[in-house]
Amino acid sequence: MIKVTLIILDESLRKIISEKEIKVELSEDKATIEGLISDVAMKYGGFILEVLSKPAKNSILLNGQDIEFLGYFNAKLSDGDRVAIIPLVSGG
Amino acid sequence: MVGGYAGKILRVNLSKGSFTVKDLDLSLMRSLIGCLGVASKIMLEEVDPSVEPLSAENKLILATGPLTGSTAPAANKSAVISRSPLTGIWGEAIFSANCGIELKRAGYDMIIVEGKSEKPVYLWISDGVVDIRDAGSIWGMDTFTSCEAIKGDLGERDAAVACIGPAGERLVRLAAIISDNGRAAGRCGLGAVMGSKKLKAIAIKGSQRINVADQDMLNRLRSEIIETVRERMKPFSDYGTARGVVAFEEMGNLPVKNWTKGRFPGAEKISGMRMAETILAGRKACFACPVACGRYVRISSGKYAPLEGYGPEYETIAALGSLCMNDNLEAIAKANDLCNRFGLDTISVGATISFAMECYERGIITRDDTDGIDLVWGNDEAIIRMIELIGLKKDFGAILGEGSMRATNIIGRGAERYAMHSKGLEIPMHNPYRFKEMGLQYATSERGACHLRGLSMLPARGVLIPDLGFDKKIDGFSIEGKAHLVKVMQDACRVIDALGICKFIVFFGGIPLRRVAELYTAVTGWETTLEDLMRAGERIWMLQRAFNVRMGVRRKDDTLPKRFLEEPMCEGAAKGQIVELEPMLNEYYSERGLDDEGKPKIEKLRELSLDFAIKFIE
Repeated sequence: MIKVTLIILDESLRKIISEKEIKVELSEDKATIEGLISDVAMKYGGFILEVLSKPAKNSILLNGQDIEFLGYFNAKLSDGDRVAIIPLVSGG
Repeated sequence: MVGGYAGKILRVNLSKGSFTVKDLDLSLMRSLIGCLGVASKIMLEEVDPSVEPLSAENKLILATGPLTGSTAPAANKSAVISRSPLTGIWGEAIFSANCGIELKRAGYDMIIVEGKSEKPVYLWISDGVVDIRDAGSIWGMDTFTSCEAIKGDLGERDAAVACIGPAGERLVRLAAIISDNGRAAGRCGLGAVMGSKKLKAIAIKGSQRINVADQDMLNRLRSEIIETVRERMKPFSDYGTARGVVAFEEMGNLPVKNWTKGRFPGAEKISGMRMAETILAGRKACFACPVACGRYVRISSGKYAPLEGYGPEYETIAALGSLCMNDNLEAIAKANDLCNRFGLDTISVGATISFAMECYERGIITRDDTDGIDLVWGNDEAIIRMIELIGLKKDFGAILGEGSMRATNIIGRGAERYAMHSKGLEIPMHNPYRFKEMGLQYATSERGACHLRGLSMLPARGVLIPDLGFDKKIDGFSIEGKAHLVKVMQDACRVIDALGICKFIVFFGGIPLRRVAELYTAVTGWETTLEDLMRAGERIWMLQRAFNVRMGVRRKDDTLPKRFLEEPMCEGAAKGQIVELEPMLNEYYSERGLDDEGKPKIEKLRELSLDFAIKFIE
């Protein structure tokens, strides 16, 4: 098992998952962004999928780097990783 | 008749107490779009390297754009331009001051102030009136009190005023110009130029209509644009520009501890969300803006009470917050208010205090140097005290008020290693370790390190600009293609600035740049394409480069603090990164048409129809 931290900075998602950070345990075979999202969707409901399906509004970062450059939903996760869902229009 | 332009340039000589009015050369506006471009030409032609920034011979220009004051969305910007006393090169600061709008209504596109008054004065401009008035009783007052006093003196409550505070009067090189609607022409020390001319303020009220060639077209475009902008920028309305603090910390963009750290545990405490939950008392919109990202704050208890006034922006929060390891939001609001009242640039002030804190930690300076102030990281009371001393040009504040580049010369002992500036302008609050394009942008911005002269990290942050060819995310850690990105974004920002509209609503609001060209067409009546606008942006950048070359800027100056080039970031998202500037710069010079020394190539100037500039750089 690995343990990763999910950081939620999207306001609509924060209404569902009230904490800023949650710890998620994943088995080795589910240690990808896709595995993480399906795990969280199982626990908190499919709403998260709707939020994540709007790439014009949010980015997903793995240890600060956009998953778009890390294999997108196939990006591999390791123990201790930080995954953040952040809004694009985040200020100047 | 062409719309948008008032058609006149006012030139005021404070030494002689006289003024002249000339027609704006409209044929020039076809190629330069706005008075930012005209001012670039005037500065190149009239200010030679012998003109000291704080001398009577230097000029201070207030320049509007063709959209300024029209009902185009957020058409509220004007530029203040001079040779900077902080950097010695192109000095410019853009703000959404109401005085720019009133200037257009009074019948002028631009004011050029020359000479120097013997005693404190302010300039009063209204329909058909240009008056140089005594400011003896106002000299010494803070900025907001000055604005009110001037309105009282004139008996004109609706006049728009932009003024300097005690910092500008004392020629502090970090001095800003503050407008009565709480906006700052902050950077490059232009407040000190006003101070050197004994010009306390410019007050303007006009009643003329700003002509619009096709008001129906403008109305249609405005209503189409506003709906999208409101929806997309709701987070800016709700949380201001500081919404991004926590996200920036997570992605490695937030500057921490004079750029030595990549994580800041206090990020949430200084975020726009926390502000909204605590001290936010209202939102402030600039003229014709549907967003209102400006903050208004109130503190009613605790050591920084009572305080009520304009709240800090993201840049201020980072500069006086995370950069100094200060996570006290109320202290940042107090620091911001003090900077506004003294008339100081919050970015350069925060960056210079942060530099001093690092020197203090390293023992380069001690309490003996700081006049007893304990400049340890995160000491909010020390930050507040330092701002007061900088504003008053007193004790150690007199040294820091010179800006970090000059302060290193005074302090010595290797302090220059920790001064974070490019060409003398302190680095603003987006991280070049994280977004390499920002490194190249800082190294090549015409006024020194500037985030707004390009905003080139936007495509990497997912804010796409398809009609400039940036239709998918760009990897911020890579240097590939960054020269082209920076050049194009710089040109785009130059022309947006010249038009007189807010670049935040253009980019964050998702207004296609072709729509911006249509706005210009609607206002002026001149058919104009995006390509025309981009060409004008390139011309303006190149004229300002030519000015800088005339002032002695060469390739060696297009650089960054050694920290970014040599010391890898130790933690956070950008861990292990440095800025690989040289390869980006080589490519950039070729994109720009600069020679190996950094001078514009003659054929490039000809290609841009800027032949008149050639003689100034040879």
